[in-house]
Amino acid sequence: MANYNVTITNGFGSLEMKKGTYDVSVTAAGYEATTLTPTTYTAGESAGSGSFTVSASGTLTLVFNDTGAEGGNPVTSGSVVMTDSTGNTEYGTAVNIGATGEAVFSNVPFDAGTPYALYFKQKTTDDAHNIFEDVIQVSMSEESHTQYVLNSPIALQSFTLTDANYTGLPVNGATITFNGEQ
Amino acid sequence: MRVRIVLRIGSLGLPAIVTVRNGRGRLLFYGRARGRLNVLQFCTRERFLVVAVKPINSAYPTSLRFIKLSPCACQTHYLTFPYFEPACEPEVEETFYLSDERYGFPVDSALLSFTER
Repeated sequence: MANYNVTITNGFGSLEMKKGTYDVSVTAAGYEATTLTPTTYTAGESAGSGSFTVSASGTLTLVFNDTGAEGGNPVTSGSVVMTDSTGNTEYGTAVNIGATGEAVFSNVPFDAGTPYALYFKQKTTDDAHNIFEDVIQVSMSEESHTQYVLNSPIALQSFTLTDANYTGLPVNGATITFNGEQ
Repeated sequence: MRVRIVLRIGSLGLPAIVTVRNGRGRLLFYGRARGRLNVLQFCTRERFLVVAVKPINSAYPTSLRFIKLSPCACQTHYLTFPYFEPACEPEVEETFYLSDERYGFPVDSALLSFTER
């Protein structure tokens, strides 16, 4: 009877195995071992591959407000998505930011020994705030974690419009239109 | 008296290393067999020989044979090694991916254990 242990690093691992049918189990920091799917694997006479998934039970609450700390005025709408550390690759679907500024991510991994690093990118915010443009990094070391994210309030901008030929002559009745963010 | 040793080796198409040593471990012959039946030969004055045929990929066990030639051995002595029998099932490379069920990102670090049924 053959038994094998395969080390998985960054989601990938390989090993030479005899053909046969195997029961599979997993040990992964931050995850529930009982959630491994599938739990059997059949190796054939030629090289093969298997894809497994595992699930975690942590809950992360990201709170978006105008202080980036407890007690600020919350963002009332928007969305945020889990990404890789660069923010360029998205994982799963975006989560909406609620009226209290909260976006809740369930089933996230956590580990007290080696905190699990997770990354997020804010996609949209409400009309009264500026979006947080950097990648949001979260260190999950406990089952339930709350992290605050700063969305600074939009600031009042003042404009003057004067006649180009007569210095200082204000233009009466005009509308200046600003199109889109650059 | 020199004796010609003829080794007839069947190796199931797998290359195999053939070594012959005397009773004191001195290498008398080194060769490589390839193909279903390969004939290697050499001459020696030794009377005690240890012949080892080892497949290169170690998928099969090494065949060892101890030969003691009588003083009146004929000038040519034939040794036939039949086809190797597999010692175990050959192993093939299996590749595994482990990702987070909810979000789909690759799991940083894990150990997958496989127990044959």
